[in-house]
Amino acid sequence: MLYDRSLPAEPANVGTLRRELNGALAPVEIGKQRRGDIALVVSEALTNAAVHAYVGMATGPVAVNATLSGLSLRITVRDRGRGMIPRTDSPGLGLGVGLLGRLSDVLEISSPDGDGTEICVRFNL
Amino acid sequence: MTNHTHRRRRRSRRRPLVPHATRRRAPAGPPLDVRVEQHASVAVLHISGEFDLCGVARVERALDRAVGNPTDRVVFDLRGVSFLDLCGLETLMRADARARRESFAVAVVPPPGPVARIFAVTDIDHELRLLAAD
Repeated sequence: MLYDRSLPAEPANVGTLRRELNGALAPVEIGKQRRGDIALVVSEALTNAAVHAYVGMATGPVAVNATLSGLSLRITVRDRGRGMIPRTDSPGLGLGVGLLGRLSDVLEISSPDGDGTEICVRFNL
Repeated sequence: MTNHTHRRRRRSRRRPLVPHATRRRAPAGPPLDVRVEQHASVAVLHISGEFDLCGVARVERALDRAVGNPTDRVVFDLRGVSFLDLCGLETLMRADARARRESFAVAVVPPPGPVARIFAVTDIDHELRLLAAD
């Protein structure tokens, strides 16, 4: 496990978790552009949790963990919010999932046990 | 309860579940700063630091102030931005949509090198008016 951390899904923690993860990945040999892509993907997944996960309920946690297996980096971002419910009042422009898919090698979005949302991305290094 | 707490403490002393290095406090990111310059009917928003969800409200307030004056054009100068994610980019897109509604123009001076990648990977570089950084 390279990184494992949970914080309240609040806007300020998007940057906190992104920077911590980036620090944890520092010893791993990753190209500069790939490193930037990872930061963009993680930022988007965390933003999704901070903006959408806990609408209409008390803010809960968002957890990030990263594991390295050979040359494959797996990162999951998990919240305990209301799950994947479409929003007609979404403040975004609907580009998020496309960005996650475009910048990662594998993207899986699920709602494990119907409890919150888990975004899992893999990067071939 | 006491015993349970005691056991957990002993375990954490023996073998941390996560390496100490990953438990360090995150290095403080460059705080987002927005400085507005007004040149006749052109407002320039100089933005620096990390432009993510946390900075959206600050940039939108600065835009409100800028277009509160007679303004034909708003320039977002991102040369000082060290990280730009989709949230920051969507803020620029909303500003551009607002400009079309309210009859002013928006232009963007992109951030340096790798930070500007978000424009290309979203194809939004074709939609926003990007100015040369020089």
